[in-house]
Amino acid sequence: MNSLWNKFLSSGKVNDCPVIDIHCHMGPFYGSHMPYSSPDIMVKRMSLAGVNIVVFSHHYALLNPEEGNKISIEAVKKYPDKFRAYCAINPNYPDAMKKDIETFDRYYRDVYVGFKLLPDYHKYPLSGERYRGVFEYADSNGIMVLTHTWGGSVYDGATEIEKILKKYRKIKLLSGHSIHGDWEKAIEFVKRYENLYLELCAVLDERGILERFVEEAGAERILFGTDFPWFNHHYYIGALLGSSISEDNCRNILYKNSEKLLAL
Amino acid sequence: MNLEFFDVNVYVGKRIDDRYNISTSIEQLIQKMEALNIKKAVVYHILQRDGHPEPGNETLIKEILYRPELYGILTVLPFQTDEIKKFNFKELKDKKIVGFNFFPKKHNYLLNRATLGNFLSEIEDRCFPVFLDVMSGFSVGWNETYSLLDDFPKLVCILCNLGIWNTDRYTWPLLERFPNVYLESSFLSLNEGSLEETVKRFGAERIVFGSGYPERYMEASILQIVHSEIEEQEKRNIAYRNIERIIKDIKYE
Ligand SMILES: [Zn+2]
Repeated sequence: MNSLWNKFLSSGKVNDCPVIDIHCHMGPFYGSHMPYSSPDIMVKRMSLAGVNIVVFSHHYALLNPEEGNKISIEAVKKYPDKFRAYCAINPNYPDAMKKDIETFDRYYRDVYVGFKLLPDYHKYPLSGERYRGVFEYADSNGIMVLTHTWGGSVYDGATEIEKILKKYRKIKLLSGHSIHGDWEKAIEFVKRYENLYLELCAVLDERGILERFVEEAGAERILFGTDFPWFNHHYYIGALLGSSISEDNCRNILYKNSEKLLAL
Repeated sequence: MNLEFFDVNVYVGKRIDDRYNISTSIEQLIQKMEALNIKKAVVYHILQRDGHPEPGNETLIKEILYRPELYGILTVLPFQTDEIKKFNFKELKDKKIVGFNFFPKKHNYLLNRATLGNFLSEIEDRCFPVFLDVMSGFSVGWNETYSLLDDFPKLVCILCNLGIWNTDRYTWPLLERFPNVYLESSFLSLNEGSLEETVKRFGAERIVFGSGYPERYMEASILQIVHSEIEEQEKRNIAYRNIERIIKDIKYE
């Protein structure tokens, strides 16, 4: 077992291993009790596990970007060292989306680091026409797009993802949940498309998948994400360290890969 | 802090599907436990679920017999079909059997008073814990769990594999109403704040440590509990003492 395990076990956090969580949220959610979802509590909880930065999309922003993205911006302004946000896109509201793309640049880097898409919940396919504006903007500027991806989904399953990967080669596409369940496709795609990244939320609650990802595709494009405040940082860090992958690869996943993406 | 653990949610044996090589033998399990300071575990054999309870139970009893760190759970079927023998409770002590589990969805029956009323009353009286899996799709859902507890309100019931999404809205009413309901910790640990908030409202006595191994990483649950925002005594109760007490209270005679 790698030495990071003993360090995290004894202290909870490790100074030279500052975690970056690339897939987070904020605020309450209809389907799940989330007692620690306010910005203040989130910052306090992050410190327990040495999580330096989380990149989030507020739940409200995913429902109603026009109002919700403002709340995300305020939270980042309150904790500029701890938070970065995704500009949430809901393709069912094209006017708000257009406005958000037009003003994205004003917030880029200090507040926003990319866009967040949630096709399964918005019931709109990734390759649909209404997303085109986001993808074209992100592609021409090399910007990150985190999208929810789930095996078998007609909105964001493997078929839809590949359509985007074939068309946009400069975008940094983060596959949230790594096409959950369709693990072999995730491996195939990350090998074939070098602008694809696999994100580990809901992957690490099953043993054996991460080991296979790393064995097949290396760890350079695998990112630590937890859906925090849905899920607990120590739980996921423990899972990662409990896998059989090397310390170097754990470090790549926990922060080094994301540091590069965020240009920190 | 040096926490010792007693894991209540583990199975051994070869899975019918094992694409990602997670099946675990008794030897591998014990090695893993030693590495992580897990002093004891309550286990079942996957044959009990995916094969048949009768040979499964026998295999389990044989495999744990000379392993002092392991205790077993037997799987129950409706006795009406005579596929499993009636249990001799007195003998179960020597066999280190400390509870029962049920896979009604997988095994195609209903876990209720009509099917297993006499047996459930008896284990309720004898304080034998039932380890009820609520998420896997093999066992029971929340409706059945609520009905079962309405019918057998004193049943010692350890709810395992609670669910990936936070289940406080399901579990807290049960903790409030039924004094012998306990929660296995692995998914409380996964869900941010769930362990701490459950302890705050119901006390650490109502949670028992479980890892979900070999399907989930033992290290995940351990790291969360060790660094959770609860008192050291509460951690010790969850990690080890609560299940030890539950086992001690079983009336075999
Ligand atoms: Zn998410």
